[in-house]
This record gives sequence, structure tokens and C-alpha cells, in this order.
Amino acid sequence: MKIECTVNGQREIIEIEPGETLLEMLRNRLGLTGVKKGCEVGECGACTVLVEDEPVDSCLYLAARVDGKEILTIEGLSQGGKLSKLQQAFIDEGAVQCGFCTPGFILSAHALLKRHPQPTEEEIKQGLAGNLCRCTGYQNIIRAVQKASNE
Amino acid sequence: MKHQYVGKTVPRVDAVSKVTGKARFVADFQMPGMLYGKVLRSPVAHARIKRIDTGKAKALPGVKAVITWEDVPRIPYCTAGHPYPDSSRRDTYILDNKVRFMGDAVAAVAAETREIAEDALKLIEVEYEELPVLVSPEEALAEGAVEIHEGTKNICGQHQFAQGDVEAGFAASDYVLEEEFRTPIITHCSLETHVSLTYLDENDRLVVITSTQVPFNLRRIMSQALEMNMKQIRVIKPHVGGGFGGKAEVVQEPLNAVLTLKTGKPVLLEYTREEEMVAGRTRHSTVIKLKTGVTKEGRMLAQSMKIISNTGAYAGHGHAVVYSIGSHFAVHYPVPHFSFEGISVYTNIPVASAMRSYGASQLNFAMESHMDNLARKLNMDPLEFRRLNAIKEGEKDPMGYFVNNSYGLAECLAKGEELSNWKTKRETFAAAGANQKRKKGIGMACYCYETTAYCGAEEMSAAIIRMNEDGTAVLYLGSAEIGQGNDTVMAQIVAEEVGIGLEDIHVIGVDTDVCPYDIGAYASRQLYMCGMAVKKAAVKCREMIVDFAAQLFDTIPANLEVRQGWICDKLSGNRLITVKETVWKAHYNMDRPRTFVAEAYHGAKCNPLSYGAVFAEVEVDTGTGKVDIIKLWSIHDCGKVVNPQLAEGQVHGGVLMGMGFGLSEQLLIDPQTGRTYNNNLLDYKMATMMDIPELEVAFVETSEPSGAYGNKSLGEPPCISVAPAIRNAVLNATGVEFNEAPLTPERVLLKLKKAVNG
Ligand code: FES
Ligand code: FES
Repeated sequence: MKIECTVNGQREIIEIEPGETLLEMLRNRLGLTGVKKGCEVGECGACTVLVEDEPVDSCLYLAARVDGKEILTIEGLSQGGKLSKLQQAFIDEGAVQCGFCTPGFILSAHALLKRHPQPTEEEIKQGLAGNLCRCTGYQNIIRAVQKASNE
Repeated sequence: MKHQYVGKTVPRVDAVSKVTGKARFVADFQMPGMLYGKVLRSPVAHARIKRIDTGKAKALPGVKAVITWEDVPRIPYCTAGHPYPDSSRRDTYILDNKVRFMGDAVAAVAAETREIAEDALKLIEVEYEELPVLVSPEEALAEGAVEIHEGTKNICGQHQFAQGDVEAGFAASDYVLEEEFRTPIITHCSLETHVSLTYLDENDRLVVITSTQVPFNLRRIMSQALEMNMKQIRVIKPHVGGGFGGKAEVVQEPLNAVLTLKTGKPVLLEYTREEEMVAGRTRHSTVIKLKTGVTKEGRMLAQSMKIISNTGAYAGHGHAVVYSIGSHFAVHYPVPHFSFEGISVYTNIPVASAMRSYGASQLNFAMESHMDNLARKLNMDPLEFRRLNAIKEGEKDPMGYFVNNSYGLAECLAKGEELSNWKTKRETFAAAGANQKRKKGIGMACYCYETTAYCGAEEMSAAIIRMNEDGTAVLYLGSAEIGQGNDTVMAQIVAEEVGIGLEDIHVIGVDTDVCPYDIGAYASRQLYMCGMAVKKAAVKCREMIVDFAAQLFDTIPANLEVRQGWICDKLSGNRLITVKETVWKAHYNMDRPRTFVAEAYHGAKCNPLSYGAVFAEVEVDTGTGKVDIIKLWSIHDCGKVVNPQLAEGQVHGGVLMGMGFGLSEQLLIDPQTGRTYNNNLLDYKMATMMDIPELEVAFVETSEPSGAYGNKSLGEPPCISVAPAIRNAVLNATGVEFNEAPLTPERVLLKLKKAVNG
């Protein structure tokens, strides 16, 4: 089946399989490999992308559902080669280690800051509780989100 | 000497590619004509394969290969990524005619799509002749138990040692305490599962792009398992999504290579999360018996330890982990009389192997819990009891494995005492009364830990620096960046020593075709070992450049030095020429053209100890059994810190991993069938952001004389003492001794009830 959607500001017409997940579509058909796969069953958040500004686990989300919708992946976050505030804050605060969870975290945080430009620590934790990280202990990720929200 | 880069926080060299999603991990490499590999996993925990029929699977359109044990070389190999010779057993075949745990590999398929590969698995017919399932070491060691590996009696490894006369030591003691501790099966939970992509290049060489910590050892093991020489194999380690020891191992690459060799096609073999948690690797569960004799004054006289480690179906790093436990056992609290007995047992459960701290987490949980129990019986402050007995400055390791030439333990203890306000809290919490429903407690634990794999394994690192014509450089590393920041600190060293900017350095690590040999992300060794190799190579490089500059300025090299990217006259300090311009002039030179390529290697001659302590303040809800952490203090002596932000990051991650071990994480196996109950990230409880405690990190900076910049280990140590510190805080809060981890609410509640009801 054919769907039409906007991915990182670009209009796309894509031929997909009915059972295909958004994760598969983005990685395999559009080559957007910044979308990571940590579990494929909605447990880790590594595959987080934004659909209409809302974070979703793309591994559980059927590609067919994005017909007519707008999608943002990590590849679309930096504008004209310039890193977003969040991306920069992740670097400055040491919130990146292996980097496998990083795209998912940044997108979840991006959506969070859209909803709450000045989140409390508790709101950050709640907003990002669906993203797992085994390397950083989360401490510096919280600092990065705080830093980006203060700028 | 003042450093420009070393000792400073600099942004990671891979940070931009990681925050923009450009960083490529194995599964991000797509190849034309690529096939998808899938593994058929055993539904039973122990059986002989009587018959496999792959006919129907092979006939499925889109299936390109189906392989069983009959299609692979019958060469046993050791999956642990040790240097040669393997210090663990060679007990694994790429595929075998026997399965030894539920989830063991039975057959593999390569097909055009993942779906076809999955469908093909269902078409493989297997007849099993089931064998008795042995889940616990007790069962496996019982008289007449069926052998999981023939001729082993289910003993993967065994050793013992003693010094002094331990029985005489106990007899001379005023008080002897003997206890048993248990630790759970933990699993690494790297966010990226085990994954490899294999293909043949234009010369029919086997290329293996894989998520590994040990590229060179992996290449050697593959060359042995597949009977190919090393020239025929190229291993590429791209970005790795976490390792923690689970990827210091050759878990699935040889199997994938066979699929590629059979089909001639690229094959991506990617474990699902469920596969990862069963067919990946785990931390050994252990039963540890400790017996200690002390004087009335609290001085330890004698100590014995017996450990049974459950290594599961295959050795992996197997008994090497118990060797490591043994080597650390005698040095933390040196006593005149001690004895150690360790055994690693094969059972029909998932394979236990290397995991961050290589057995020290298990040892430390037992030892540090035991220390608190002892202090309690002696009516001593547990911190004072440790001060009295722990290794002191200048004191030698009685077994001679480790050196103690930079000692920060006493200062770590002092710092933790002060930061946590230990004395006041010990008094006030105790005085708060027994009747409160929520009880507060404070506890601590400490450790000493190795830096390298020496002398358990053959240690070596190497590095190559090649200056580009314009004075930028390429650094070739055999050491493995797996998230910890390896490439960044190595680049810092090159910038420091050669006199170019950090942004001038491109790191290539690891491609076995171009990088030099290194044993990889093993122990906590890379900054210490490879850091020294990089420093030596960088100094060589600088000397060559200075040498050339001396010719340009008609002087001798001894008159020149490099400062902030400039070659200067030593005496006057005058800037003569930049390093970069010198390199340029050397390459484009009519009279004396030359290149600057420097290689250096470093072999360990000693293994320095790092030290640290964790202090924990908790609140225990006696109604629910839940342990809340109020605050943790994590203090480390890792010698000189080379990059403070990266160092702190190691501590943050390690502490949370240790907290999981103490409170929530355990892989649960059905004692009858060997089935893993919680093979997913919902039921296996690793910490989320909601679970993180308040954490204060501090470093006690000693200077290790054998480190490139006074540095020693830090990668693994932060996970070590967290669980026992929490456990000891719970003891302080409740008066109940929990000698088994993790302290889940169920376990805590049950034992508190028992304590009340007697
Ligand atoms: S891959 Fe989607 S939540 Fe883990
Ligand atoms: S940085 Fe490795 S999982 Fe988060």
C-alpha cells in the first residue's frame, strides 16, 4: 500500500507492507538509521520518533498510521547543519556514552520541552521514564535537559 | 608539568555523530543483496539432537541457507575473548548435536527477508532425546549426575590456595564467624543486542562488522574455529551500543560467518531482545561461604572463602572469573592465614561470563556484608573495623598479583565519612527508635580492584599515529570504544603530546586490517594500557617532527620544544614554526622529504589497584519491604583523572548498575525446566530514570607511577560496592542481615516478618 507523509519536513510517498512498523519503514525504506532498535516490543524507547510532535515507540507503531502525518526523527532535528539546543546540551553535559539510546532520548526530551518549556526534575523524569539507558545512569541526561530548558 | 588536554573535560570525539543519529552501529550498515540470519533455539534445556530435517525449510522460497551441526567445522573453541592461550575451556561448537540450555542454538537460516527466515525456522523438524535438566550447581555436582560436557563431571574449573595455617588462625581467634552469601544472575542489558554483519570482499576474504569489545581476539578465535588464517579475516568494530563485558566474547560471529560462506552473501545476524537475554551472556550467580577469625579488639587473624560459581551451559569466561575473585580475595583485608577454594560448575542455564568487575561484584557483596555482620557482633563501628583491617599504604599483596604503589583507600573512607555525615547519622538513626514504620539507615562498603588483565592474561596494547600532510593526524587504535570514551581520551593524549588540536585528530578504531593489535575492552585497562601505547607513539611522533624542525632551523633537537602547537626555542621561548607547518614542509620537500608515522606498543609489567568506597543512606518501609535510597556517595581513587566528565559518567552508570544488583535485577530461571522467566526489559528490572537516587561523586586523586599520566582503572570499579553499601544501610536501619541479593521488597518483607516473629 501507498502512504503519504512528511518526514523531517520532506514530503514522501512510500510503498509499504500492511504489517510494517514505522521503525522498519524509517530504517529500511528511508535509510534513517538514527532510529534505533533496542527491543522491538516497546520496552526501551530507543526507537522513539515524533509523530505530530508526540513521541511514539516506532517499533510498535504501524507505518500505515502515519499516512497524512508529520514525522520527526533525529536526522531532522539539526537545522541547516546547526545542532539544536538539546543536542548541544547533550554534548556539553556528557549525556552521551555509547549513543545507542541517545536519538530516542533527545526526541523524547524535545517533545517534553515543547509541552513544558521549563520542566521540573520530576517532570523530566516522568517524561523520559520510557527511555532506557544502561551507560549514563541518567544523571547527565537530566542535566542536559535542564540546561536546554534554561536557554 | 601543566597539561593542555590531559586532565580536562573535552567534548567526546564521537558526540556530534551520536546526537545527530549519524553514528553507525552494525545494523546501520546495509549491503546490496544482504540476507537476514536467524537462529533456531532449543525449546528444551538439555537434550541430544536425534534428527534434524531441514528439507522443508530449504524449500521455502527466499531461503538461501539452512545449517545444522553437520554443516559446520567440528572444532571446539572458547567463546571468551581471551588472548591466546584461552584461559577458559574450549567447549563450544558453532553448532552441536547436543543442546545444553533452553535457547541454545540448534540451526540457523539465511533468507532474503527476516520474515522468511523466521518462517523457515518453523519448518525445521527436530527430534530431541531429552536428558535430565540440571539447574543448580548442587544438582550438577551430585554423584552420578549426567555430564553436560563429557568428561568434566560438570566442573568447568576448580582451584584452591592457602597461606599460613588457617585452622591455627581460627583457633587463635577470640571469635569466629562463618556465613553464606548468595548473588543473583545479572545480565548486561546493553541497549544494542549482539549483532554482526558478515560478507566476502572482492578477494573472498571474510569481513565481519560486529559489536564487540575484543576485535583482535575475536579474529583469532574465528580463525581457529573456521580454520582460516588471519589474513583471510577482517574484523571491523563500528560504534558499539554498550558492552559491559557481554561483548568481550565471541557469541555469534562464527555462526554468521558460516551463513556467509555457504551463500556467498552478506548476512545480518541480529539478536532480538528476548534472544539476547537468554542466548547472550550473564553475570555468574554465586554461593560464597566466608569464615573469619578475629580478636576481641577486632583484628582479623584468619579467613577462608569457598565459592561455587554457576557458569551455565558453556564456560564463556567461566573459571577465569573465579580466578579473578581469588586474586582479589586476599588483598583487600590481608590476614596472616587464609585459604580459598573456588569451583565453576556447568548447569543447563544461560551462559554466565564476563560482566563489569569480573566477579568482584559478587566477592564484594559477600565480603562487605560479612564485614558488617562481623563488626556488629564485635560491637564496633563498621567503618572503624574496616580501617583496622584493610590494606594500608605500601602494604604488599600477599599473593603478589597486584601492586599498591598509589594508595587512596584511607582517603576514600575519610571522604565518605565526612560527606555522608556518617558519625551523626549512625547515632541518630540508631536512636530513632524501633517502632517507626519507615526506618532510616546508613551503610558503607569499599573495594580494591585491578586495572589490567595481567597476570591472568597476556597483556598488550598498541597504537599508530600517522600525520597527514597538513599536520592533522589519524590515530589507529586496537582498543575498543564501546561508549566509555576510549577514542576521546586517546585523542586527548595525541593532542597533548604531538602539539596539535583535538579537532585535528581522526580516530580509527577498530579495523583489524589497519589498526595494531590490542586485547581490547577487557578489565579496566584501556586508558592505562593503550593510553601508554598512544603516549609512546605520540612522543615518538613529536620527536620526529622536532628533529625535522631542527634541520630547518639549523639547530639540534635538544634546543627545541613543543608548546601549544608551536615548536619553540627552549632557551628564549621564541616561537619558531607551528607543528603543522613543519609537517607540511616535510611532506612537500625537495631535499629531505619524509613522513611521520609512529607505532608503539605497551606490555604490562604490573597491575595496579584502584580503590573506592560507597556510602548509602536508605529508608526501609517495613510495611512493604521497599528500600528507598535517600542518597549515595561514590568515591574513587582511580589515580589521576584524564577527563573529569567522562570519569564521572563512568561512575554514574556503574553506580546504577550496582544499585540494580543490590535491589532489583535478577534473571529468574525455572528450577525444573531451565526456562528463563523474565527474558525482557519489562520483567527484568533495570533502573529507569524514575529510580535514580541522589548521587554525589568524588575522586581522590593519587598518582599511579606506572600509568601514562598517573591514571589507573575506573571503568568497572564504580559498580562494585554499591549493593553491599545499600545492604549494610538496610542492616543499620532494620537490624536484619540480608545475605542474599537483590533486596527486593518481597525478600525484605519476608525476612523482616521472620525477624519479628522469630
Ligand atoms: S525498540 Fe521500540 S521500544 Fe525498544
Ligand atoms: S548511552 Fe549507552 S545506552 Fe544510553
